[in-house]
Amino acid sequence: MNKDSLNQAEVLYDCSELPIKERLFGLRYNSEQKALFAVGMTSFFLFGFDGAGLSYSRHIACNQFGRAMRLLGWDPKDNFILIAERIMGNRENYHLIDCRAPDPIFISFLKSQPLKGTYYDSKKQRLFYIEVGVDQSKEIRLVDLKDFRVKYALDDQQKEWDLEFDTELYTALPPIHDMYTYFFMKMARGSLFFKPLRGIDEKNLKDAALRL
Amino acid sequence: MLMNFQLPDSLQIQAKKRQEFSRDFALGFLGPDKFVKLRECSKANGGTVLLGHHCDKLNLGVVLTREGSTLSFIVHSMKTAHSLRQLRLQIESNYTNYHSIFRVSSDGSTLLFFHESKTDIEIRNFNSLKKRGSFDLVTICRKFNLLEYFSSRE
Repeated sequence: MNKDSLNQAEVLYDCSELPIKERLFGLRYNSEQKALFAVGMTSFFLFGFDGAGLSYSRHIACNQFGRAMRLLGWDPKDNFILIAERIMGNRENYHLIDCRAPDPIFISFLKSQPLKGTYYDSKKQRLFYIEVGVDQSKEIRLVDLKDFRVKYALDDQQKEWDLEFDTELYTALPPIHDMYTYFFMKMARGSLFFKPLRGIDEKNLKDAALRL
Repeated sequence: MLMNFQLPDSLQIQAKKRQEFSRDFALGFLGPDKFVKLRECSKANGGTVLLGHHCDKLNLGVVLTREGSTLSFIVHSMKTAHSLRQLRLQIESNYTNYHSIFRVSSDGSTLLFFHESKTDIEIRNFNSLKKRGSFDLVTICRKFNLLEYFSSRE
C-alpha cells in the first residue's frame, strides 16, 4: 500500500506476444496460497509467489470453448478452475480444468444447465446451481468437488474427460415469480444467501465470479 | 402573462416507487431445510447492488450500490445484516463509464476502489470507509509505457 512501492513494480507477464490476441478482464489474488489468477477472453494465467518474488507462471489456453465462456470458480488450494461454456437456448455446460498436472486436464462434468445462477463455495469445495423442473419449480443443487480425482478415478494420462458428476439436492425453493430471471448466491458464515434478481446484464454476469 | 400550473388530473404525473421493488426479497439458508426471509433494509437501500465482499475476521460485509449518479458503500454486520455505515460518492452520470472494481486486503483492513470515470485508485479503510490515499493511474501507466492506452478526461 506504500505509494513508493510503485517504483518497484514490474511486468509479470506480457500477453501481447501471444499468438491469439488476448484481453484480460479480471484478477484475483489468494493470500494463503500466494497465487494470482488472471482471466482473459480465451485463456487463464496463474502466477505463484514466494519470498523472493515470482516463483512460477502458467498460461492455460481454453480456445476450444470460444468466447462464450465465463468463470464459475477458482480453487487455488486444490489447483482447479471451474468454467461455464454457453450453448444454445441460454444454457451452459460446466467444465473443470485440473491444473495440478503440468498439462491441464479438461473435464466436462455437467451439461445443459439453465443460466440461472451459480456459486462456488471454496471452503467446502461445492458448486451450487439452480435446476428448473418441467413445471418451472426450482431447486438449489450442488456438486461436491472434494476428492473428485479419486472419486471419478481420473488419471493424468487422459487430457479430456466427458463425465456426469453426481449432484445433490440442497433445497427446494418456494414458488418464485417469473419476473425474477437470475438468482444470486453467496455463502457467508456457513449460511447460503440467496437473492432473486429481476435481471442481470451480460457484462456483469461474465465477471461476477471474479468480482464477488 | 401568468401561466396556470394546475393541470387536469389526467395529465398529472406522480413518481412513485415501482410496485415490483416492494416484492424483492432474499433468503438466508442456515441449512438445507431452514431458511429466513430477509427484507430489504430501507436505511441501506441505495439502489442496484453492484459488488459485495465480506470479511470473516471482522464479521463485516460491504456492498457497493448505484442509484443514478450516486455510488454508495454500505458496511453491514454479517451477524445481524444491519447497515452500520454508509458512504456516498458522486460520479458522473454517464452510462459509458460504469465499471467499478473494489478489492479488500486479506486482513480486512484496506479497501481499494476504482471507478472507470476517475483517474486514481482510492485506498480506503475497510471499517471506517475513510480515504487514506490513492494511486495515480497516470503514474502507473507512465511507468509501464501504457499511456497511449490510457484515456483521461483531462
